[in-house]
Order: sequence, then C-alpha cells, then structure tokens
Amino acid sequence: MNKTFLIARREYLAFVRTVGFWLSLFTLPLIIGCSIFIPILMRHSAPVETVAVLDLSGDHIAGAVADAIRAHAPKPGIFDDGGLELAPLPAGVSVDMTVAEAEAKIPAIIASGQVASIIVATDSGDKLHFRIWSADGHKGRVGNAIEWDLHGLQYYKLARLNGVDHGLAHDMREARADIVSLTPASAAPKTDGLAAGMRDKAGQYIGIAISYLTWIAIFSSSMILLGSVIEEKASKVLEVLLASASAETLLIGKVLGVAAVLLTVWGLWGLTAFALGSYGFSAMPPEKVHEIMVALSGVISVGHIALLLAYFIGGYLMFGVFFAAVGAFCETQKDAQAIVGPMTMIMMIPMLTMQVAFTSPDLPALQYMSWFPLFTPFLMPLRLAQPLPWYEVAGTLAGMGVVALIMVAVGRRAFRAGALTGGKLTWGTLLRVATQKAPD
Amino acid sequence: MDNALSLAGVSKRFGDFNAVSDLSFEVKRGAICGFLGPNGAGKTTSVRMMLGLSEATAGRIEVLGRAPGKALERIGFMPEERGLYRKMTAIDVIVFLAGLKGVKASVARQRGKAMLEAQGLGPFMNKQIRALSKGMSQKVQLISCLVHEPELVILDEPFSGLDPVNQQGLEAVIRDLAKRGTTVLFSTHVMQHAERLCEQVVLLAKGRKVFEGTLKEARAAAPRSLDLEGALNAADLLALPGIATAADMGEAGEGAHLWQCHLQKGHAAHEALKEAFLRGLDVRRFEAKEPSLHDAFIVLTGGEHE
Repeated sequence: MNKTFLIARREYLAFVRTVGFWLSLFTLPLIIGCSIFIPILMRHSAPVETVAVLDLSGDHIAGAVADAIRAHAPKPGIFDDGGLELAPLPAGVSVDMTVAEAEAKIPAIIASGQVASIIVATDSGDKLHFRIWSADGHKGRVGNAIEWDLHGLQYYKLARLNGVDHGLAHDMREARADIVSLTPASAAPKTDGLAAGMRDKAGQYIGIAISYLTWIAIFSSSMILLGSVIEEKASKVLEVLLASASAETLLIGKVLGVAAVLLTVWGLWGLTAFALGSYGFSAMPPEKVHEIMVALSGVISVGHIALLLAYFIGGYLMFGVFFAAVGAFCETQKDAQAIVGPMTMIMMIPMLTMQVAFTSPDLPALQYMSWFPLFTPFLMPLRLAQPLPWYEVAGTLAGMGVVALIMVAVGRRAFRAGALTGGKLTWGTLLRVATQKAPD
Repeated sequence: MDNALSLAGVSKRFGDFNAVSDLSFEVKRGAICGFLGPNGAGKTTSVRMMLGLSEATAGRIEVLGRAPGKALERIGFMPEERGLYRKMTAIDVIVFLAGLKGVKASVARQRGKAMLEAQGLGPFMNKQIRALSKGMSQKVQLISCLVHEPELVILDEPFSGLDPVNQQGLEAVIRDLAKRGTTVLFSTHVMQHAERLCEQVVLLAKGRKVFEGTLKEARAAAPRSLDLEGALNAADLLALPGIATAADMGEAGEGAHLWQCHLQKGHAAHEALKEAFLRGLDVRRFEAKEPSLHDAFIVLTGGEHE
C-alpha cells in the first residue's frame, strides 16, 4: 500500500508541479467561456442599423413598417445585437417618385452614410413588395429582423381585400392551439413551483453535460497515463521500478496518481464554477435562483452521484489501464498510434450519438448501445436522467465491471511484458501477451 | 542458509528460442560473483528471472531463501539500460526509489546525501537528472540501488559506459560492499573487471553455463602459453615435449621470429625450454605466461568473445 501511495504521489507531483499543468488547467473552461461569450460580445458590438422607409405603395403602410422597425429598437441586454433605428427619409428621394427614379438615387444616398438601409415599399394590387436596400456587408440584417412583420402586413392586406374584419384577422394571425407535453413524472403534483419545461429538461441537460465531462475526463486521463508510461519506458525507468514494485502496484499507483490529478482539476473547476455561479446568482432575481436550485436538487441525488462515480471509475479503469499497458510497449507517442488510434475511434462512437440522445434519450438504439461495456460509462450518465429499471443499471454496471477487471488483468500482464521488451507494438502483440500465463 | 542465490536447472524459452538452458549455480552470502558471457549469452534474461521480472520456463530459483520477486526490498538492482526520472532532482530520485524499498524518507534522504557527498556529487544533489552528465547519472543510479542497504546487489553490465576513472571507483564500491558482507552478482563481458574483483565466476555461452568456479579454476581451463623468439620453425617447436600449438607471430629482427606456443594440459614451460636448449635451438628470448581469464573465456565459450 505504501509503495502504491509513493508511486501515486510521484505521479501526481510530476504533473501538478509543471507550469504546463496550470496553464492547461484553465484551458478548457477558457475555451468553453470564449465559445459562449465571444459570439455574444460580437453580436453586441453590432452597430445600430438606421432604416428609412420610402412608401411608394399608395396604401399608407409606412406607419406600419415604422412600427415594426421601432419594435426592434436597440436594447441594453447583453444577449441583444445592435437593433434598428427609424430614420427620416433622406433628401434626394420622395414618395412622388417612381421606383426606378428612387432606386437610381438610393445607392449614392447609402454610400453617403446618411442612412444604412432604405425600405422601398410598393403594391401590385394584391401583393405588397418590399425592396430593402442596405450598405455593402449589411445585406439581410433588416430583412431578418422584420421579415415576419412585413409578412403580417401582406396577411392583413389580403384579409382586408377579402372583407375580413381587421380585428378578426389579427386574432387569427395570433391564434395558437394549446399543446402540453406530459409524462407521468411531470404530471405528478409538485410543490416546488418549478416551470414544467425546466423540471423535465433539467435532468436531460445535466445528463448530457455529465456524459461529455465523463468522456473528457476518461479520455484526457487515459492520454496522461499513456504519456506518463511512454516517458518512463523511453527513459528506462520502468525496469528499475519493476525491480522494486509489482506491475499491479505500479499500475494502481499510476492510475491513482492520475485520478488525483483529475480530482485536483475538478476541484479547481468546481471552485471556479462556484465562484462564478455565486456571482451570477447575486445578479439574478431570487425566484430564478430558487428555480435553478430546485431543479438541480431534484435531478442530482446522492444515489445518482454514486452511480455516476461508479460508471466513471469503470470507464477510467477500462481505458486508463489499457492505455497504460500500451504505453509500456512504446518509447514515443508515434509507436502507440497503431493501437491508440482505433481505440480512440471506439471511444468517439458514443459521443456521435449525443446530438440524437439530446432530443430522444430513450431511443432503443441508444439503450442497446449503453449495454456495450466500452460505451456504458459515456451513455449511462445520459440515460440516468430518466427513470430506469434497476436491472438496466445493475446489468450495465456488471458488464462494465467484468470488462474492467479483464482489462486490469490483461493490462497488468501487458504492462510487465511491454516494460521489458522492445519492438513494434501491434494488436497481435497485445493479444499474445493477453493469452500468456502471467508470472506470479 | 549460506547461499544468497541458488539456481537449479533454470531454463527460459521465448517461442522456439532457448534464451537460457538448464542453468544451475549458487552464490554464497558475502561473495562477489562475476556472471560472465558474451553479448546475447542470456545474462540479462537470467538476472530478470532472479528478480522475478520474468518467469522461468523450467527450474527453481531462490533469492535470499525466497522465490524470485518475494524479497525485492533486500535486493539492489542496477539494470543494463540505466534509467532515472529526468525531471526529478538527484536526491529526490534516491529518496523515491529507497521508499519503494521500504526505507523512510528521512532516513533515505540522510543516507542519500552522505552517499552523494562520498561520490563527489554533493553540489549536484538538488540538480535535475537531465542536468547531470552521463557519469554522474550512473553514480546516482548506483546510489539508488544501494541506499536501502541491500543484502544482495545485482548489477547488470555495471561498467558499460563508464570512463576508466569511474570504473575504478565502481570497483572500489563493489569491494567495499563485499567487505561489509553484501553479496554482489555482476554481469559483464569485460573480463578484466571480473579478474580484479571476483572470487567466483559463472560463464554463460548461448544460454548455457560453460563454467562455474574460482578464478584459478577458470584459468586452469585455458592452456598456458610460452612465447619464444629466435630463428625457429614450427616443426622443431612441435617436437618439443608439451607443446600443443605453435603460431608464428611475425618477424622480431635479425632473422628471428616470435612464436606463440600453447602448452598441453599437465605440462610446464620449463620442460619444453630445457629440451629446446638441449637440442641447440636458436632461442634468444622466452616468456612463460599464465593464462588470463580472458584466455579462459575464449576457450570456454568457444571463441565467441567480441
């Protein structure tokens, strides 16, 4: 036990003492943060679009179009873009011009910067036409913003032409059927006052997030183990270590050491998330904070966390030990590619299902895949978000546990064999080692 | 129990290849044993079996009275391919490896510092291994293998890569270990080291033991030789009593040649010399030579030595 601890501690310190570790520690949160906030900031930095309306329809629709523009006025919220601002009709164009005359002048007006866009409205009798002129690079912005308002004007025009009362037409346009999606769980009486959508979806969101985190954690720790063993093999330390400690002790020590590195990463990420969350909650209305807290506590229980940990440990042992054993045969990362490449592809398969799993977490195909032990640790956290029969949980845990034990047994043998031999690593080599009798 | 190491009928096969065949020998406690053989003779494979790193296909091995791998804390091992953590400091590596042998960190640190000082590496103890020269790293490796005060030290090709001064230093360390009662087994294919250090040698060739005994016994396995200089010919020399072979080694000036003769077993050089003088052969200079371990090695391994 003492040897295991010593090896784990050395492994741990070897990582956390490097500058690279601390730099990479904040890389993932930084990338996630950037991918969320940079597009928001970019949208927010969009300038206010000044729009003028040239009503040549003869139907006096300028007021309605102006209302639509005003409805998209700039808002102070961080998630909003620049918005639209109604501008007076610029000099050089007027409502008594023809479309051709007006459009002959518009490019120069826009180029002069008086206004960013001009909407030219015309009427062909039963149809309204809106030609939206914008400065180069601004095409589509105004149209995208008020497209449905302009369609609405056509809707009301058609209603009017067919003798439908404007009020009735408005009601028809706004009318929606009342559609409610229910499950026995969501229909059960609740005392938390939580919005039904949030209650139903929170588990699913958290399941997806945990599946991704599990995958990232297992993949990155497996790569750390692989790299660590390769380094020891290349520097010829492995044989020295094997003369002092058994292959199992070395493997377990390394696995524990890297697990401690992971715990450190998670701990620091958790602290960061807690600090950011606390800051975010302080800026939110109390009822919203309450809603989020209730949603979280309703989804994550001690039992749930225990199961998530069990699936993570199983996955970590399966892949971590395997990659460590592969590393024992290799002196460079390149040597390991023949084995690591296909294994990484296998690990990627469950991740490819995530998009479908997000909308339909109970698909039979997903259910069957989650029983395959190599996929279990990544797909079961997702499926746990919904109630599952006990035999599914027990069965997948058992299957994964058996494969993890086989991996450890084979990994131990392969680790020892790899540490003492050279040569090219192939699947054949690994299989041969796996089927040989291990020394005591 | 008198033996630190005991092998009986040990074999190791890799597929169809016999790396070690029916190897048997014993090393008494406190002895220095040279485990000799040309490259590829099976020395490293045998050492790995002694340490339990590799399982014997057949036979029985006892190390300090226990099965291989069961007494690792009492054994110091330095592999042929040296290896230390390059980013750890010299003292930290020593403390870590001593810890794996069951030595408390404080004790290991104290001993490690003293040993580094003794080897002239005091100023480098807090330097990373990658900053040390190859010779310095090898000393750190040796200290790592001795810091837990093992009862048995196994050194696989310990002299390879060392300059003559460091080789001499290592020889002194090995002698010192033996003086303190530590058993030392070291493998080498350089006979001079074994000749200076060992009481016992085991010779391996093609995976088989070809000799086990003392240095004297090993030398006795090789023929003595007699160098003669003069105007001589092979027929005259081979007619002398006890001369087995006579090889012309080249001109020696003034019409003389240097002849190297090997003596038959049980014959002494003076018998041949006396007869040569009695026959009036032109012998201008002679030198009777005792066989070296190198000569014995050549004979015993069938001339495989590099």
